[in-house]
Amino acid sequence: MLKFLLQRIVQGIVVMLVVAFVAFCIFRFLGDPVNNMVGDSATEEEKEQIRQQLGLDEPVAMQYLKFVSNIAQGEFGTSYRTRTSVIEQMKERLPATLELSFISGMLSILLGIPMGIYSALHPKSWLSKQFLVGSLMGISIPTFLTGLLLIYLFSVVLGWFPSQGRGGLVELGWWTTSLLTVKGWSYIILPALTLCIYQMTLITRMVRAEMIEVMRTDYIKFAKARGLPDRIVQYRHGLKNSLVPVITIIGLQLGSVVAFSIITETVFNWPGLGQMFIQSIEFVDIPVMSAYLIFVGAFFVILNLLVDIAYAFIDPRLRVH
Amino acid sequence: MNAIKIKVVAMIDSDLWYSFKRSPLIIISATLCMLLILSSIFAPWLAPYNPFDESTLSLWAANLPPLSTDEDGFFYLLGTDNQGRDILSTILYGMRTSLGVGLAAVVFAIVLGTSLGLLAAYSGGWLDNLLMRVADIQLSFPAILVALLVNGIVKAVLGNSQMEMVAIYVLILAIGLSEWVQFARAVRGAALVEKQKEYVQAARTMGVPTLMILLRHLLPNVSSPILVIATISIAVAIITEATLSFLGIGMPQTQPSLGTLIRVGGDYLMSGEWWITFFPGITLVLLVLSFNLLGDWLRDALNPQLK
Repeated sequence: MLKFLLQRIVQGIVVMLVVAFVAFCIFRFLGDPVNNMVGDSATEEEKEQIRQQLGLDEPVAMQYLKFVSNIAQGEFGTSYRTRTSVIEQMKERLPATLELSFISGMLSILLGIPMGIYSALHPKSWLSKQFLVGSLMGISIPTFLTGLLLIYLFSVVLGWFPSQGRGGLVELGWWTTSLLTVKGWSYIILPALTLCIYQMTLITRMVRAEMIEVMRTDYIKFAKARGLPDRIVQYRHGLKNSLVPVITIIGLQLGSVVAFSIITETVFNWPGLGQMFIQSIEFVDIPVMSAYLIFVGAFFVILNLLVDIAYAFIDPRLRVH
Repeated sequence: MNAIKIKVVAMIDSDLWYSFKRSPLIIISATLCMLLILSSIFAPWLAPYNPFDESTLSLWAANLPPLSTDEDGFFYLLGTDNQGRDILSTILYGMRTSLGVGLAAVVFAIVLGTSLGLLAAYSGGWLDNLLMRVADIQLSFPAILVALLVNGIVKAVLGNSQMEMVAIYVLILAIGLSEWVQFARAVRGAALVEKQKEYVQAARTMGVPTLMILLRHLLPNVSSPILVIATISIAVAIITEATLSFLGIGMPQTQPSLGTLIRVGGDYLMSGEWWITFFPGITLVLLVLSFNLLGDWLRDALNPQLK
């Protein structure tokens, strides 16, 4: 068990080093970092000074090491566009993205799993067919279109919720939250719904497929033959055994919530990290681009690790080895 | 002549055709798919107006609702957009771009993924290991993020002004690179199984060159997973292209795809001009939906375990 976890941690570190290498290459070899940092009026001496400050005259391997150690200390450099510290910018925007992802992740799990279980257990029922049609629509409608649809319906026609930005904020230290006021919730509900629909669809489909597979196995038939009540067969034998792959998928899906939040944040003008990333691509703001890449990489690695730990709790076979 | 006859009979007799005939939903979605593809191929002849001919555009005819006629007596079935372009015509041309980019990106992903997958399975050893680790790492990042990143990197290399001219190729590259992993994995898995079979070993003993074994013997036998993934990948590629264009980093306004049209319409949604967004949006959904349905059906029909 411990060996298994250690192995996974080492793997995670390797992945992070690779991601950092990609980020480093983007930073170092795309355009001249010095020219991007100083104005056009800078003299050669000033440029030389910055070049030495960045350590650009050292060997590439040394530069990479320095890059990694800077990141480990939370130093991501300065944005080319706003001339402010990247880490400060990210700190300011982190709560917005994490709250949005968290709410929509919870929504998609709480709605998706029951829908998947129901349509697996009652494949012929009317409601299951609706779920199936709905899930097909869910994967066929792009996230940004869902967002526009919700804006038109709930903001333009009905006027119930605001469509742009984040409001009703409460400050808790450096963390700003919109979850403590009614106004805050009215701002977060539409983007969270938009973000959750695609994930919810995938979760429903996976749970359904997995559960149908499990319900076909011999031990389920045996449990039925033993005369166990349906509920016990379905939940204790069926659901429990279909959960293992479902957890992996959900874990990875939650990771892609962060990626899809790029789209949702753009549609709803939500001041999070995704919006920052899109702006950085638009203005070729390379330090912000590579910092975001590292953030997403770290997020995925940590998520994968948590999934592995959850595995060990659910699947006793892993605990023995 | 006889050979063709046998082929036709074999096709009508096949399980695939049988399951096709039995499902009305699949017949509808295949028809819809063909219709959309044909109407985008023949867009220049079908479109009532040429939306890129600037001499016919006038701002007086901008933002007209569906079924309206402007002062000069021109009729607009689906209304006009902010530049006075006929929406039906922009959709036909936009779908052409969307489908073209989607198909080209998937072809690129198939060629790249299949050759790397075959190579990995056939050579084994460190090359196989390296390729599959790269695939694993990339797979843990969502396709849209990879596509965004490739796009951003190319933009940094080329600069904004040149970007517009090559936007379509950059998109194909970015989307193709974000989707090759699935093909590589499926092909590798299937090829590893096929490799052990006697006909491959027989070919090897007979001294058939490796490249020939890969292309003539292995490739045809791993083609059904490729077909299934390709159909679903087209849907994903069309969505990815639309998303990138919607975010403003895909097709430029001078050469719009469905995503670009929706982006433009989004700005007018708040003032109630819904048709600029709605019609390109519904076209996009129908396009993606028909490919998804076909892909689902192909997967079930070609899966021997379900029979």
